[in-house]
Amino acid sequence: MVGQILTKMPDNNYSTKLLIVLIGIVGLATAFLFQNFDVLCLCFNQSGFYDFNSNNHNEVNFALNKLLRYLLNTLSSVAIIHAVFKDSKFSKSVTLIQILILIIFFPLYFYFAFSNILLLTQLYQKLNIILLNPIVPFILGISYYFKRRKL
Amino acid sequence: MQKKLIVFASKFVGIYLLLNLLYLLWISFLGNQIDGISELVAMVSQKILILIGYDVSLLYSDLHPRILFYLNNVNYITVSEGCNGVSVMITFFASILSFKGTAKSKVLFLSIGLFGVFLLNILRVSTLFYVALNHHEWFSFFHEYAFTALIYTLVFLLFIFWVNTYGGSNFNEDAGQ
Repeated sequence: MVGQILTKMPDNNYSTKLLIVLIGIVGLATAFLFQNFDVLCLCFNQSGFYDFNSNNHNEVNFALNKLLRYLLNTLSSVAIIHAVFKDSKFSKSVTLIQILILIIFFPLYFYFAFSNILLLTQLYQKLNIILLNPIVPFILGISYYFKRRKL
Repeated sequence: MQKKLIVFASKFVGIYLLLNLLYLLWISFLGNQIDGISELVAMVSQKILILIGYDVSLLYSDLHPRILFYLNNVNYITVSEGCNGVSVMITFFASILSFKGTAKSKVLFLSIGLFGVFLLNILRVSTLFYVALNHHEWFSFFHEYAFTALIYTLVFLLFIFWVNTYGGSNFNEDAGQ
């Protein structure tokens, strides 16, 4: 299906687009498959970059790992969207929406995650689904694809 | 286009959060009692497992809102609020509702789609029981990765089908640009 979409896009180098889409898919798969790994600890434990023995290590580590996953998902989805549609305006809009989500919802997400109130921790799990998976960029991309196809 | 996109994304996220909040309020109102959807998922899955030859019995936990699947006095899997597929249904519901389309087609497609997600979830629970029983080392992979990816792929395919068949464009004002 990706191949079909790519061939329909005129005036673009097919192999470059395919490469960007593949890198994007690898990025999304990495973010999904390594969701339970402490990437920060794995990468920087020996480097002295961060004090892993500090009191708030768990909270900081948790937050940074989640932000890293969000960043990887966003970069990968925007890369795929840009390679497929070649519409800078649309790619910028999706990036802007992802930044707005980051600013508005991540403080709430972390507050819910460390809360002792049951309802808030349950809400954290629901926010986890929508924030840490590329659901919003995918839905925007699908909608945009059909909008272009209908024009 | 940017404004239209932001409105569309806000509608999707807003509907998703509102429905989840209402759902969680309902769950917390039930306290230690298991919700009806999880109970239905557990019961239908049990029937399917019995049908394929596993004499599974269900046990309601006294301490938590959970249903335990037993075979020969061994507990293999547990069904709780997070296993009933409601989160996926809400994602599907929010994506269809936030997109343009006629009310009639939305009601029709939501009914079919939600039923599809429910059926796939039954299949997921039944398969997870089989995996826990026969290939326990693969349970975590299937539970956390394979079925999550499969169910969300179904939701996206349903959404693509919906937009392609019934949906109007949310960004029509840019036509011709």
